[in-house]
Amino acid sequence: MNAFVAFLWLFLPWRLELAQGHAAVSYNPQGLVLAGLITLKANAIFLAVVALLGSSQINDIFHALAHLRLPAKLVSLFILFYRYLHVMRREYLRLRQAMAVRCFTPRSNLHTYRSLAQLIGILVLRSLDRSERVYQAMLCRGFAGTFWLLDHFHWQRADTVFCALAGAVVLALGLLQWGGPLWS
Amino acid sequence: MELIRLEKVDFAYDGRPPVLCGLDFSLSSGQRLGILGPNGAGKSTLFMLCMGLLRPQAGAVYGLGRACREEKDFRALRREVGYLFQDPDDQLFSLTVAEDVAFGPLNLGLGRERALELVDSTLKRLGLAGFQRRVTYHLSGGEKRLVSLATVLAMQPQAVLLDEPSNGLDETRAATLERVLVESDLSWAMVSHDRALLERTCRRVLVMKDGILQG
Repeated sequence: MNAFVAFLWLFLPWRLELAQGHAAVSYNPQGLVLAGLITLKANAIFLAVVALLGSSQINDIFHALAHLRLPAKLVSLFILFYRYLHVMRREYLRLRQAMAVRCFTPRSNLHTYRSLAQLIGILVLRSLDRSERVYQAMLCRGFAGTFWLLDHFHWQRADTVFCALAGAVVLALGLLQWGGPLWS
Repeated sequence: MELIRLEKVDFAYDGRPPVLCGLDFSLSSGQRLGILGPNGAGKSTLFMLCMGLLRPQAGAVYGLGRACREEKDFRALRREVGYLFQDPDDQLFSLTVAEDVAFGPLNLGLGRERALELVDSTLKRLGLAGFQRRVTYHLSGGEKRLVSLATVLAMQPQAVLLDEPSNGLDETRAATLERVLVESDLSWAMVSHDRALLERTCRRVLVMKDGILQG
């Protein structure tokens, strides 16, 4: 991600001045401050997301989405997508291995493009077939449109403590930002 | 009691030669049928017709003694007869084992408590105690197959259609599967290429050939 931010450092410190007939580029130190701010913000957001998602189990995240009243269809879609992404990936790797043992080495030629296109085509076809079979298997088990959730979250002591602490931190940040005049 | 009956059923996949021609088949409670037959003989097709996943071009399908023509006619049948698919990845779609096994019982309208009880007891029966929180796509091939059997058994059917149930199982797991089936009071129709397995577990073995069942 910081590779993208590096471009900002490259471009922001310069000011383009257009006057009649000629253009001049001059150094602008304000741009550096701005680039620094963006870098800090982007990293802070990234770290917060990683800390939240990286420390949660994927099922917990999906269940949380469901409990946050995200439409049930959307949640089912996420779950099925995630579940079968792995199957697709394995199928893809298996096909690539099958190609490799028959001495396929990707090059920049028509044969390579054609083979890879066929690979993608076969993956799409297989996933269509599979979705059909998965649906059939669900029908056999009496599926009538409902995805059931087994895990339910319970409010625990730790949650109270965490919320209180997090709330205090947010409040403190707010005070530091805007509350200066109150005690100065 | 008769669970499934197929009468003079013809079936062909689009633009291909017919797979089944005038096939008769029936499964009653108490029966344990084995079905042998070469690849592509239509064994899986037969099961899919029984469960209402495919519709025959000619002939009739009866489930629990009633003629089944549309999707809704098959719903009652699917409560009594389970179907174990050939590929467990088709059958396990939830993230955790417990959710997948509970899916059927919850669809039957059993409550959460009862469903979770069934999950625990079914997994234990299959030697999979403690698998509840495991993630389905991280299971080994053999584990996946046993879990998919658990998803079927948890619905407490009278009979099961088993499509090559011991495929991809090691000796220990295959033995577990065989023991669980034989010790149960289930009826079944089992497709397999393993003649010895069919002769050990089934009371009658049929052979599928030229679009009909013989034997």
